[in-house]
Amino acid sequence: MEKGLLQKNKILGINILYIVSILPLIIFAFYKNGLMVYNNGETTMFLAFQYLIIPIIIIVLSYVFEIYYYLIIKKDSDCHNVVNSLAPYVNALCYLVCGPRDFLWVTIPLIIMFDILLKFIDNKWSINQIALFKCVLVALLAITGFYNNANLYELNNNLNPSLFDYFIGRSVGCIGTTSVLCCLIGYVVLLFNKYYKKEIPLLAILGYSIVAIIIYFVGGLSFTNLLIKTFKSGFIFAAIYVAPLSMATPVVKSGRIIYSLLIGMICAILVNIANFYMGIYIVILISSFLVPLFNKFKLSVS
Amino acid sequence: MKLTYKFNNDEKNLEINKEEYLAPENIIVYIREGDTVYVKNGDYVYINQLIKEASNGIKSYATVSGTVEMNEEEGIIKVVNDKTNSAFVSEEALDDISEVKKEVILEMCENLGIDYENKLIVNKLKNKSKVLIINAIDVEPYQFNNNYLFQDNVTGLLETTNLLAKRFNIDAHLILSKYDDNNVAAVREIIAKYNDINFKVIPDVFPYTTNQCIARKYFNAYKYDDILFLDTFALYKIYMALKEGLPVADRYITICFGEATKVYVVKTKYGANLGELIKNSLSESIENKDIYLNNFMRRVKCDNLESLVVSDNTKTIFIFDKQDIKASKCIKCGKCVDICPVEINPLAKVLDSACIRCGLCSYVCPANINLLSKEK
Ligand code: SF4
Ligand code: SF4
Repeated sequence: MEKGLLQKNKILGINILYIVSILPLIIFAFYKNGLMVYNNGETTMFLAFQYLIIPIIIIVLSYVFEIYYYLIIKKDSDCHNVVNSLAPYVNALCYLVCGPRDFLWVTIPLIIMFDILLKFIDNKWSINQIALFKCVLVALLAITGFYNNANLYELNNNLNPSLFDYFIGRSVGCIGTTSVLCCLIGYVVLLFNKYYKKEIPLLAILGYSIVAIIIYFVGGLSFTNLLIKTFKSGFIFAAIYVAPLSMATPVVKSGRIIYSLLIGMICAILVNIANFYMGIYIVILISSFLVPLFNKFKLSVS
Repeated sequence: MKLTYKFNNDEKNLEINKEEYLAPENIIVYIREGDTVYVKNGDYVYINQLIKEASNGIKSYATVSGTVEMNEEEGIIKVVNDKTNSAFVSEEALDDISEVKKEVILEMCENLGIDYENKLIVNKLKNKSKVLIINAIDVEPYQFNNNYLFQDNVTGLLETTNLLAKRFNIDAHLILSKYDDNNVAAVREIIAKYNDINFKVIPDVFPYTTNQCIARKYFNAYKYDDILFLDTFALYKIYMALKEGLPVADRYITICFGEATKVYVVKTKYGANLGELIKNSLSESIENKDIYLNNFMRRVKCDNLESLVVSDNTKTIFIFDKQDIKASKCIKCGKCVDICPVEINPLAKVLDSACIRCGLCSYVCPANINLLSKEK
């Protein structure tokens, strides 16, 4: 007889799948920013391992804060809210969108601070935490003049990545967002997660492709160039991990379709015409603010 | 009996035990404010004797014969069963109901309290509803008792449907589940005689067998003013009223243990105590169990089976192991919206009136939020 007529804790499983889905990104980040740089003698073994250790620290810290929040602040003696929290996953993603050489004593507190901030304004607004974090971080770095996404090896050597390099992620970019291949592997893992909005990346990429094809015919950009720009911009990462972030996406199907297509199309314009890669996060952030609006796109019953 | 059914799109086979509990020690009728009581302490009552009438028109009849023990303080009328089964028999019993007139049908529905409160059946018949849908499928998963009632009365139910169709000049549709093999075969055999009935067999997939979903899916109707829905039990009541001139005293209820690992369909009396029924007729204990009435998906637990009696609203009792369901924060996954069969937003503060209270939204919610409760 089928089990599961009554409710079981499903979010724990969802959480585990979410975290597993970012493991390829973390491992690749460790390889690209840690091992490869260490092999070239440009960093120490200890610093190379930071890319593996810090995500773990962030996940642990997130849980510590969740426990503090529910036990002390909310006075909720039950731990199911802690176990069910998606914050560790979101915070780990925030870490992955930092630059490889960003000051970690700034980024880690910033990540946790955003987590706390959004907890307190939660349920009132719909905000994509990762996009917001990225925008603020980049703004801070740009103001202070530290904005640079190259790791030490990339900084010291003038590399000329091929399309294939871009695909597997051997290119300049945030800690964990450069590898399209790892993102796709993560997507496959996420497909097993019933509660992940799997259509959002597909539709976003569809919207992106439509505009890209128009640009190809009208703007005369070559196919390889288009692909390189797409991979370089981190759009695939944003489409798979940032845009479908469950808390800041429409719950209504038609709203979700419009939301994803819109993000894809605007991103394609920003990436391929304006060369404004950061725009992806801004678009996602603004769209997340508009989620209540997207939720109204619904066929009415009567 | 073996039964095949579908839940969550999986086809399942189930062994159902049929039981009878037709001689309860006593039956209980609760008195509420505004009720008119027709008996007093010490009276002897017969089966089918009117005991009380509520202000909204619901009538309660004795379903066993015996002495009345009235406790006005607690608002209880108890009939202690003397097990002689002494019953009133109506003079209006008919051999053949096919000649019954329109007015008589309406009158019987009203007189026997079949159609109480806002007189849905009578008004719809009078106002010339265009469509009559006899939904003979158990809407909730694991109810499995309409099919037994149907099986016991196939001819009578078809006669009644045909009569309603003819007298009120209404399009009558009889809907049965594709998995209800016996009844489908039984109907197919005799349907030719009843040429005013359209017979339809549909897959039984929860909740698409609720009246509203059937109307939407098979009749393209989004407003139900023109449609008269009757379930097997309501139709059976009309049939009994016309044929025997009597109210219905027995009914089937389903008792479902665990996650449908053990299912009993019990024929019992109106007014029989549910706690007693389980204690006396089935071997299972209900200590330390969670009990849900009629629909476990809606998650309305019932704390005191001991004080509940079989009524019009008792159809299924689900008995599950105790489980502590705690809701966590909504992760806005949208599953509840996606699954809603009537396409409304279960997350809305006030649920749209189109909600059929199927409970699917709460069922799929990974955060265990009860979306049908007001505090969500
Ligand atoms: S809101 Fe929930 S209970 Fe109501 S119809 Fe939709 S899924 Fe069913
Ligand atoms: S299914 Fe539950 S968690 Fe998902 S959106 Fe609906 S209420 Fe929220």
